[in-house]
Order: sequence, then C-alpha cells, then structure tokens
Amino acid sequence: MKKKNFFLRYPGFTIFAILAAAIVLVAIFAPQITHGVSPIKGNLAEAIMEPSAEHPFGTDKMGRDVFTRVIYGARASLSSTFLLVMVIFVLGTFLGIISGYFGGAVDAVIMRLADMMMAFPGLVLAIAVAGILGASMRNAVIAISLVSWPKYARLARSLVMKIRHTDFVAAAIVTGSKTPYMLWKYMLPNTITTLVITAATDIGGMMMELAALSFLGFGATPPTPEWGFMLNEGRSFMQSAPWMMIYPGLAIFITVVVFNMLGDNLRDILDPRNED
Amino acid sequence: MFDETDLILEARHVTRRFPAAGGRELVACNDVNLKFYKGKTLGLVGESGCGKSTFMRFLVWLDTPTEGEILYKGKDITRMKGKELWENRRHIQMVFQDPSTSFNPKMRIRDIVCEPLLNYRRINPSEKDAAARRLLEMVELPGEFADRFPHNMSGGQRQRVAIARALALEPEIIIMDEATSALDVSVQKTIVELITRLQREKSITIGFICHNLGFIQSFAHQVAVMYLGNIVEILPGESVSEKAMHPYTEALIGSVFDTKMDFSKKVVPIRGEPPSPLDVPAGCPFQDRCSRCREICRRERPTLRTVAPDHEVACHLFEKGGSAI
Amino acid sequence: MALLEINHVDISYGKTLTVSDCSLTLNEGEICSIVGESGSGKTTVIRAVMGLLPGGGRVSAGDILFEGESLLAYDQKKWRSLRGHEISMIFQDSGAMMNQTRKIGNTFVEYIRTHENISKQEAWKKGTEMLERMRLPDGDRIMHSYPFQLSGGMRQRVGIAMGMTYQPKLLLADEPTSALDVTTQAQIVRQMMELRDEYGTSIILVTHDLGVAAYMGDKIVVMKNGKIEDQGDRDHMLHETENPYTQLLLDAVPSLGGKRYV
Repeated sequence: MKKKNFFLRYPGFTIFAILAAAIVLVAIFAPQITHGVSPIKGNLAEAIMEPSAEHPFGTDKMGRDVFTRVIYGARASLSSTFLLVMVIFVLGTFLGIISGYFGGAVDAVIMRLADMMMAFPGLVLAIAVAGILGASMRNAVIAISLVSWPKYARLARSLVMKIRHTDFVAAAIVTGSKTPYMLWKYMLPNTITTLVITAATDIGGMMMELAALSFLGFGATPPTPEWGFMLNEGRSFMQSAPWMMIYPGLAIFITVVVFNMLGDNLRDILDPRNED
Repeated sequence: MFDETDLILEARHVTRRFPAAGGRELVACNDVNLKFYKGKTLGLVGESGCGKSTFMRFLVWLDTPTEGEILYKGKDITRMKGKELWENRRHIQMVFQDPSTSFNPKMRIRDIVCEPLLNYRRINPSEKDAAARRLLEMVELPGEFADRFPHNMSGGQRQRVAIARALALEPEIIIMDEATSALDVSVQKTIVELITRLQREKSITIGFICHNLGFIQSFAHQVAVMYLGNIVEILPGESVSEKAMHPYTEALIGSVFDTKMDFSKKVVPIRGEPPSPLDVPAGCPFQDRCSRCREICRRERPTLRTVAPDHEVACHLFEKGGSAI
Repeated sequence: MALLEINHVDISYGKTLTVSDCSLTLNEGEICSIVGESGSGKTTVIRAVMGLLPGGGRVSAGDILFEGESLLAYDQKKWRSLRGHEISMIFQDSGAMMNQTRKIGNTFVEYIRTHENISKQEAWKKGTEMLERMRLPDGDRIMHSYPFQLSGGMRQRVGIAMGMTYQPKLLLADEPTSALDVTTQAQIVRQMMELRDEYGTSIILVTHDLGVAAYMGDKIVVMKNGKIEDQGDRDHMLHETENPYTQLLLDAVPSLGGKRYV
C-alpha cells in the first residue's frame, strides 16, 4: 500500500523510471527483440537499403540491419555510461570528502589536481588519451573520468566543509570518535544525497560525451554497434541514406532525455530542502 | 578554600596567536594561567572576542596553544597525540553553547548519548536502550525521549541531552561553553540546579564560560575575568559582588541589571570600545578604557598578583599587595 | 489622551491565533517594558503597532490607537507619513537591517530623503549632525564607513540615531541589546534613557532580560504564550504582584549578592 502511494505521489519520477527501465530491458533482451539477427554480420548485397518491412530501419553500408544495431547499441552505450558515472562518482566523492575533512596539504594537492584536470577541454584530453592508449570504449571511459571527477570532488568537498566545523562534529570528536568513523558516519551521509542526484542527472550528459568520442573515432571501434559510432559511419551518407544517422541519433536523443528527466525527478524527491 | 592537593588541571603561560592578513598577528590568549580544582566550578567571564572560548577549546583538544602547557594530573596534554590523546579524551568532555547545532540532526537521542560509550567500547550495541535510559534519567528526562530526534525537543531539553552526553564517559572535568546563554531565563535556572546537583553527586570539575558576571557568580566557586586574551582577575565566586578590584571587573559589575538593584542609580558605562585583538597595545590591555589609567599602565603589562587568599589581580593599582595605591 | 492604546488585540497568522486579548496603554514620556520568554508573542505585538507583521499576519480583533486614531485603518500613504516621523523602530541587529554593500552615509541619506524632500548634500549633513547629537564619536568617519567596519554596539547606536532623526513620539525597540556584550548593553540602555529625558520620547521595549526591563521600564508587561500574564508599574510588579509566573521569572533572575548555589 505504501509503495503504491509513493509512485502516485511522484508521477514524474514513476513515468521516467518506467521508461528508463524499458530502455535497460531493451538492452538486456536485445537478442529476443531482434529475433536473433546479428548486429555485426552483414550482407553486402543488401547494403544501403531503405527502411522496409524486413529492415525497419534500413541497412548500413556493410549490409547490416540498422534496427538490430540500434537495439544492440543500447548495450554498449548504457554499460559504458553507467560504468563511467560510477567511476566518477566513487572517485570524486572519495577525494572530495578527504580533501574537505583533512584540509591542509591533502586538500591543496587534491584541489590542484582537480584544477589541472578541469583546465583541459574534455574532448581534447580524451583524444590525447586515445592517441596514447588506443581507441576503445574502455579508454574512452578512462579519458572522460579523468576530466569529470573534479566536479564531484568539489561538490563533496564543499558539502563536507559546510559541516566540518560545526559543534556536532566537534562533539563527536571530543567524545572519542575516530577518523574512519567520522568519514563514514558523518561526512559521507551528508554528501551522498546531493551527489546521487548529480550522478543521475549526469547520465544523459555522459552518454553524450561517450557518443561524441565514438563519433570522432576515439571510442568504440568497428564492428561494435554503438550509437555514436554509428553516427560517424552514417556521416558520409547523410544525404543519400539518412536513416543511417536518423535512427541512432533518435536513440541517443530519447535515452538522454529519459535519463535527464529521471534525474530531475529524482532530485525533486531526494532534495534535502524538501525534507523539512 | 582551595586545597592544592585537589588541583586537577593547570594552565601555565598559555598563549595563542593566529597569523592574520598583512603580516599582523591576532593574539587570542596571552599568558593565561588558571587552576581547576576537583569538584569545583571555575567560571571564565568575558565579553565576546576575549578569548575565553579559544582557551577552553585547548582543554578538549580542539585546538593547540602556540605557547605554554596545560597539565592534567601533572602531564602536559597539549603535546599528546594518537592513542594517548584518545585515551585521555574521556576524562575531559564538553557541552556546547547552541543546543540547536550540537547534535547530528539525523541521529536519534539514543544514538547521540550512546555514541561515546560505543566509541570506547563501554557497551555493546545491544545495550544501547538501557544505557540511554540511565543517562536520560541522570538529567531528569523521561526514558521515552531516547526515540526522539533533537529537533523535536525544546532548547532546555536539548541542553540536558548535551549534559547527558558529556556525562556518558564519567569524565572528571566538563567544560561548558556558554551552555545556558541560548535558553530562556527560567530554563537557565533549572539547568544550573541540575549542574550543581550533578557536581555534588559525582565530584565533577566544571569549567563554565559565560559573558554574564551576575549569572556565573551564583554557582561558580572561582571566577576568572578575561579581557582581550588576558586574565585580569581571579577571585572566589562569593567575593565578586563585594570584593572585586580590577577596574574591568568593576565595569562588568556596573553593567549588570538585576531586579534588586537601585533604580535611581545612573548607569555609568565604560567609555570607548574594546581594541581589536589584532592591535593589542603594549602595556595593560585595558588602558584606553580605564578611568584610573596611569603612565605605567601604558608601558608595562601587569601580571597576576595575589592580593588576598585565592584572589589575584593583574593591575598596577594593586601592585603592593592588596591596597590601592 | 494616551499616546498609544492597544485594546483587546488579537493577532492571527492565517487561521492560527498567535496573540490574544492584548491590552496596553502608554502615555507620553513613559517607558513600557514587555518581557516574555521565547514564543510569548512580545515581538509580534510590537510589530503589529508598526504595521509590520510578516506575511499573512494581521490584527484579527481589537484596535490599536495612536494619539486617538486607529492605526488599523491606515493605508500605505498614511503609514509612510507616520513611520520615522511619529513612530520609529529599532531592531535586535540594526546592522543586519542595513545594506552591507553601501556606506552608512548613503543608507542614512536614503532614509532621510524618503521622509523629506532635500538634496543629498543636505541630507548627508543632517545625518552627520544626528550622529553627533547622539554622542557618537567622529560622525563623519561613521558616515563614510560600511556596516561591517563598525562594532555591534556602534551599529545599534547608528540604528537608534537613524530612528530618532525626526524625534518620533514613540520608539519601538525590539530586543535592542540582546545581541550585545554587557558593557555595550549598558551604553545603549543609558542612551535610550537619555532619549526619554531629553526628547520626551515614549519607548516600548521588548526584551527577555528582566533586569533591563526593570531598570528602564516605568511599567512592566509580562507575556506568556500570546497572552498578557501580568502587568503594572514597576514597583507593583517587582514587589507586590502575586502572579505566580511573574514570581517565577523574578526568581530566576540571578542577582549579585543574591542567592548562591555553592
């Protein structure tokens, strides 16, 4: 009964949660949805065909079914995006908390590293990393993490600093609380809500960044179906075979919007200001 | 009144300097010497910015003095670190000024008062209920309050919880930083009654910071008056109304409004404003506002001299042992 | 005719009754202290007199008469002519009431020019004179300072100076000394007593400090939970009243040379 009321109270969140779940399910059940059609094997004789009953989204230059590639593309895009957001979240939160709590030299070092990373335009650095390590989704995730963790670290740090010198933190220390306890029980809970909201709203943005990297050729490599890379592949056929770009582009658009709206609605629920 | 064998904590020549912008220095505490005795209350009185809170924070290791030592049972606590520091924390506890900010808003009362006990493994998590009840009883609060959150209680009730938390580890010394200033007058009285009762029962030494001399002298055995980081007078609580000597102490007494005073008496406030702790003048810190300032006061800083049993004054007027020159 | 009459006033916020059946009379040259603990409603009453009840608050019953005229019927225009000229108010933290990014002088000039149509230079001069008349040292320097450059006590005195510029008949003081040190409090108390002595200003003082209330007040009003518990002239309240709450408050005030616990 309680659960039902929750979902009724937050219709926005409910709708987008369902949509997001649907997208995830599509990724999981890709083989079933595409009836076993292979996303990487193509029939060159069927290359660049208009959308039809057999190929709802047409075929690409290698004769592969675009519909199947779009569906399978969800896997690559979602998994790498979630991984990316997780890495940034954990790394940024951890560094931010210890930076804010200990202050002094620790804070100075971490913040200067953050400044350095923030000084780089993300894509430029990613291209550089890809150049050094080679193009792959894994390296794309590494590259974008390097430039994106500072946002979380700064946020966590400022939230920690807000309470670091309050009386109740001093009282906990005076009554014998040790540092790991303080970090886990006092600092982390104070930051987690805001950071989770930030992460949720970042999913869409991070997805765009990965797609952009793949589009530029520094992320996914052929024959992996990945939406950004598919945009790249379809670029030369923009006029003649627009379906090669339209459908992957729509997929990105829909997914990013759904996760952005999910994040917004999650914030409305979790926003500490609403707790009063 | 004070037996030297009861001396439990002694501050010697404690000074705290903070670097400030432009190469200047903020002197928060200047050569502070104080003695705390077992089972007795020392009231530290002064106006805002005089350094009393800064000083008391040294006692619970929330800050370290730049110079000087603080001896707890003979050992200097200012240099303690690591495990030794942690072990000693349980002997000196603190009650903070503002009951609305001294508790983690996400913790229930039970968890708040049991946290010290769990930190030192005095109890198991399963024993929290019983321990919380016992502590709440000690401060005259019903056991049911253990389930509440701090914001569901009045200011006075919260201060009682703060006292319960400070008592959890059975400390020898409790520092109370303006623990009653944020409370209504009738509530202040009940808290003072609670504190004095607990002191009698458990022989706890209390260091009480206050800005109101009229209030503190009613329950402090010793009163120390602080001005701009300097202790200017130390005297027994019962002597404050009649035997205070330092001009600043007299000014504080003259600023007390109480319902039994003579209303036709004109208020004579001390002139001027306190100088900034960034620019403490050479000589006596009170020189610019003292109606009896002399030439020597501008040159030499007076140190505390004993003028009567348990009564010390830092003032050139009383240099030759007790009588005004 | 009394200067101010509060007759059986109820104050409500929406549907909630905050103050009920409050009645008080103030004559010219009198000082009335309203004391109470938190939640007693004392600040609400004084704000109602000034027409400054925050969002949703209104006088739902009774009347407030100033020099015989009902204040409740006043529109914005009449309030503008009244505030500053006839009735002024000072707050617990006058500093916070001023724009921190403007010099005192500019704030003061703006205040003067909303009440009088004179030039900026003349207003500046008038402001400086006012500060000096209130015995503030070096008025010119203060006019050129920002609020944060002055101490709390100094800011309060500037607030009083501004409030007194047009020598209002009534000064409403909402906890004017609560945020100050005891020695500064003594300065402000003396200054306010002088206002009555020199200008004949009537004062309503709201405070939680019984000692200050007793020293300053000719009359004392004790409030509790939105109602007036007890009121009377000072002697009666301190020595004769049998009201148990008043006695409780009096007993709780520590006095030098009085009861000790140790």
